[in-house]
Amino acid sequence: MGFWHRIRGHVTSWAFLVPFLAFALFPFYWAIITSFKADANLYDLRRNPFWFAKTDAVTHQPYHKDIIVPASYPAAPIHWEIKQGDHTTRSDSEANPKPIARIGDQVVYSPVDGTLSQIEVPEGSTARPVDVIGTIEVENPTVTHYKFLASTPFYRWMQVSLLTGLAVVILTVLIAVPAAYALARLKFHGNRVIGIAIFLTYLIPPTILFIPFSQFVGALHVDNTIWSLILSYPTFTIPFCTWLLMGFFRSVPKEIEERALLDGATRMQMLRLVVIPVVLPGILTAAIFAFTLSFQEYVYGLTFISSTANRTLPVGISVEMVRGDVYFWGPLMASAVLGSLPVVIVYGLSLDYFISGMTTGAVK
Amino acid sequence: MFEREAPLGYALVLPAVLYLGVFIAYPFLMSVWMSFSDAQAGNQKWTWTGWANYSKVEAYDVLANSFHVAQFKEKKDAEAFLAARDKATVTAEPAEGGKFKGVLHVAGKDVPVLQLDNDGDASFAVQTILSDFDWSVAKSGTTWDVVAKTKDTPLTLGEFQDRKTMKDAIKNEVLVEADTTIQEKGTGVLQDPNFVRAVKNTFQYTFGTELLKLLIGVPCALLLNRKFAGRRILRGLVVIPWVIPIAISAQGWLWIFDSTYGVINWALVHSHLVSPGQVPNFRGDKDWAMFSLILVNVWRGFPFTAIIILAGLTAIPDEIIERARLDGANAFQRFFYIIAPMVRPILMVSLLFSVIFSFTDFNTIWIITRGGPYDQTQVLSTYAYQLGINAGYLGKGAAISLFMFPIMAVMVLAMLQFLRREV
Repeated sequence: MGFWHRIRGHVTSWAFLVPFLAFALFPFYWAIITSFKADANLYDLRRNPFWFAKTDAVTHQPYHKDIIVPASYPAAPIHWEIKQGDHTTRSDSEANPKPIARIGDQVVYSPVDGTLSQIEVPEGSTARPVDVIGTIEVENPTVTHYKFLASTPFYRWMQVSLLTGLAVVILTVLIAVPAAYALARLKFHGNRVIGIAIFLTYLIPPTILFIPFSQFVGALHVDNTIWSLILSYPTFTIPFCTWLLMGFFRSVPKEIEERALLDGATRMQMLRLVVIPVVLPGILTAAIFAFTLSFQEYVYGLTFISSTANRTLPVGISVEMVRGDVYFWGPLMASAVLGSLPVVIVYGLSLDYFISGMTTGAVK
Repeated sequence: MFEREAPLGYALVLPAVLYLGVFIAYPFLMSVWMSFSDAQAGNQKWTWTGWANYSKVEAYDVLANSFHVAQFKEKKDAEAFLAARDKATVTAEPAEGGKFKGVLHVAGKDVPVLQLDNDGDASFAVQTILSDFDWSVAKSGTTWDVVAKTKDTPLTLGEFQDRKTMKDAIKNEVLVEADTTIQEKGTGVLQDPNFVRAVKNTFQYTFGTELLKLLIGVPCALLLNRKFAGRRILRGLVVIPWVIPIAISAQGWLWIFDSTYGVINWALVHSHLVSPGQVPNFRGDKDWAMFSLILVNVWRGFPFTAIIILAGLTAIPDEIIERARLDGANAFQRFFYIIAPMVRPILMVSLLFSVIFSFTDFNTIWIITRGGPYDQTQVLSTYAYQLGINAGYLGKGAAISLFMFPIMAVMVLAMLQFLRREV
């Protein structure tokens, strides 16, 4: 068989799958490239939006931004704090921004990340309100949108989401593992009915429950706190994970349990030393799903939490990063890219567990 | 053995049952109670109001869509009448009981059309029929009728408190044969046109997305089932839309759909398919908005469909396919006669799951359109949020959420039936 003959199958499979892959991944490519584009490039419609451009399509000059003296400043002699050719950083993405110039006792900050390319009003001359004192060549690609996130509660939301996810994973595993074992292995009256009832609760979605639930968390005095999320998220993680784990427990051969019991182990010892180690991959899968499902949750987070500081990441990004009708696409895409990272990392590390969980969760 | 297992079994499931009882069963029952009460945000004491949140009719509007203004034995007489419409006039004439008749004068004929309480109303209504309605000749039974019709702006004949006075009034008011429709007005969600639209949208959204998910997911699964280098990585990449929180990835779609700077419109304009002034407004136009929602949901959901079907495909022994190939079955025959029947059970389960996800979806709609423009893309979940949380009508919001339940119940019963057969 020739080389072509051997690889033909591989090549055609790839060729046919490319459109599916492109459809699935394009929004991510788009978010990533947007998050690294300077605004000047982002809103330059004449440029090919699929890649970065360095120069303005009309003037063929590098993208630049004029430094304008605010109208409220008095006319005064200028003192430059940086030299021509120096790098500048946009002031709102820094905790303690460094001024680029002083006019009398007022300070001027950089409007954009880049390089001071031109000085219009030299050191010591008088700068008047709304004068252009210099030009900054815009840095592109740039990490300015990512740095800007530090000035928003983004990392606080990330903390809330991660903490909630972790707490939900612990709670879910503690409740779902014993329940799944009992339902899969132990004989008692109502076993089957309880199993089906738990499956049914998995099918009752948050969108049916969120209105009474909002009153319920209010009555428990946990509304607007992370506890409202930790208490409510297991309503979907416990049923799903119990169902998932039942499948794993059923796949453990009965004989190894019986042998342990015959060897004189108590049931609890047998569980701890024999069964749990065997179903550990299943427990890991359940934990991964509990984390991913709580990280993805939106309705409860939107309904129960009203203060900016306690929002979860998906709610924070969608509610707080948009001002009225104005979308700041750069920072918004940067927050989307960074916000996806925790689940992407978990997913990347546990690809096979995740996909087996998807199928068993739905099928078994 | 059985005796010793039972106490342990109960002890182990107890936490799960207790938790789910408190945090699912209780809110669910609370939801039912709220939907029958006047629950509102900030109102501590709820009182029973029966079905008022679901349906409460306060008045009936009678709308007329068409009038048979004249009837003729011969077609040419009807056409002559129609031709004389331009020179027609309208008068209001006093009638018995202090009422007034609106009379149409066409081609020498006087046609009393309506009888209303005052002369202004009578002549205005008949003038509307004359100048704003579309007139045509149509055969009805043995006669040729001149029919005045309207599509979008029916004539309002009045508002009535109950059905009986309404029926009597129509009998007395309308003097020619006419098609009337009755519109209920009231405060229940069933009388809310936005709710009716939300129900329609929910079905449209669900069936639109499920169909497309199958059309994309099935070929994708068949391709992923082939043996080729890098299969595991490709499968991993295709699933990514399902993994990323939709509330986050939908922000990327918002930017793609942006009408000024969005990449779709950029591509349409730069490939000269659409002129810059005529690019689609993906979120501002109601049809495009629904299209956008379906697109995003399909994008997120097709990997799930594909992976579940892939699991079904992997379970088919290679020998069966191989034998069919040796027996001379071509690729289509192999798909429709062997593969499809064997993955059908798993396909049904994935479809049911997927239907439930789409039917109760909130996130996609809330982020992409927020139910807009002007409530045109509200679905049950978003409209429940809008009325229940944003506007504070908790009872109505709960009622809207619960409308999802019967349909969910049917799905779940289907699924249970299925599981009983399989397990």
